[in-house]
Amino acid sequence: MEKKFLWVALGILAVVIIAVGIAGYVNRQNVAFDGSVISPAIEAPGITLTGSTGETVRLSDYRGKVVLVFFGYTSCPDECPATLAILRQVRADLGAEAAEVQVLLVTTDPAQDTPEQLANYLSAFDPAFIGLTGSGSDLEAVYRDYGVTVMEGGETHSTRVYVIDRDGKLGLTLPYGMTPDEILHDLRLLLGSG
Amino acid sequence: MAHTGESSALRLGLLVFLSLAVLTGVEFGLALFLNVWQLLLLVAVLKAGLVLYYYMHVYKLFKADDSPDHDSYAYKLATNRMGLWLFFISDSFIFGGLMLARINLLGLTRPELNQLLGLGVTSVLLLSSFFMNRAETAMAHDDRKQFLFSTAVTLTLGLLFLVGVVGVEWQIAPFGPGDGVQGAVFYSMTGFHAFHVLTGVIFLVIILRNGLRGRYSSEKHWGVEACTVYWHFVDVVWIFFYPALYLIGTML
Repeated sequence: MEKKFLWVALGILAVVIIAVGIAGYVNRQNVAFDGSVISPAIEAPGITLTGSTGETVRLSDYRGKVVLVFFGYTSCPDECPATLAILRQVRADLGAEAAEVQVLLVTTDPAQDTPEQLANYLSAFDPAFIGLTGSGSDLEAVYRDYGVTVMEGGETHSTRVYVIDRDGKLGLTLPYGMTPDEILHDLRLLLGSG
Repeated sequence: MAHTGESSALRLGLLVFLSLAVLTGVEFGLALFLNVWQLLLLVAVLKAGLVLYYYMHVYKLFKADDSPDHDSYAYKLATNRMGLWLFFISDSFIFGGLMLARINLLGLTRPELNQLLGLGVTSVLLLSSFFMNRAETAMAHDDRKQFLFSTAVTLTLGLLFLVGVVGVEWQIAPFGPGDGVQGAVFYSMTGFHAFHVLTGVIFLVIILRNGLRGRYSSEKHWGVEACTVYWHFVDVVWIFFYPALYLIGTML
């Protein structure tokens, strides 16, 4: 009876180990993001602009962190503040891991959005957010690389957040309307803590 | 030991308990590192299978007595067993309904609960199952001393489980029974289960009292068997409720 049971227990152990192995493998293969996946991920187009800190900011400065790039302007009435408020919430929920996530707002209205104006505006959300502005041609190049159309007065129909992983790869965008929990879920997967 | 059959049966009970303990540890680890509900379900099914076969002796149901003497103890025992299991099936519909409500209402989220306390009460209940099995095995071998001791330990652990769930978890939970869906789900599931544990505790008091009065023998101890199988049934329910409430999905 005991000998028989030991075989049963070994069988159960084998079943569990095999199942865990399969699940772990499958999990690694298709990580389920809530946002829109770009597969295969592309090399994120470079960004070199003037930051709201007054210094030159390059996207590559944040290699090793997850970068969220958003396009908007400070006098934007709807999507921009809504998105920034959600991103603030996400960073707050991330706790200590928030240091691994950098939010960049690229202005679509450089005439209005000076570095000071951007710093002022963003500090109302999260002082860690960085705003980016620059010359018209530098900004145009970034808009083009990210496929963002900008109309007169800074208005844009591009309300997505571009998510760049630790290796500088763009493999995920967050459409407007995602909840903080969904974004948190995706970021945790990218941070390797999901 | 005078009873070689008994010590071997007790060792088997210990092996089953150790396997259940390892599976519970695996379950907890899986929830932490690889939260895939299918895996947690698999582990729960395996645990339930072990309990059903080795602790609840479900196979005894199929050893119906076909002797023509309907007044014999063996015949009555077979029908009693059938009756008890029919009760389990009907009782399962209550727990199954609660489980379905939980799945529908909370999906892959779970209430905000104390993980350590959850693992603690689960361990207490598992340990009580181990002693319950010892009590029954002892009685089947006329070892009254071991029976009384193990029954008393089971009783104590059962009370400890109730204190852990109703006395502590209910008090420290950051939501009340009226606070939305998670409150409704959590308090009805743990409440129904705790009431069954309380019934089991009362049942244990009865067999302890009868045991002290020497009313059971190795041949005739249906009361002990019924109490044991009932206790393990309540444990099987918790095998599914524990991951459903504490482990699967993300915390609300």
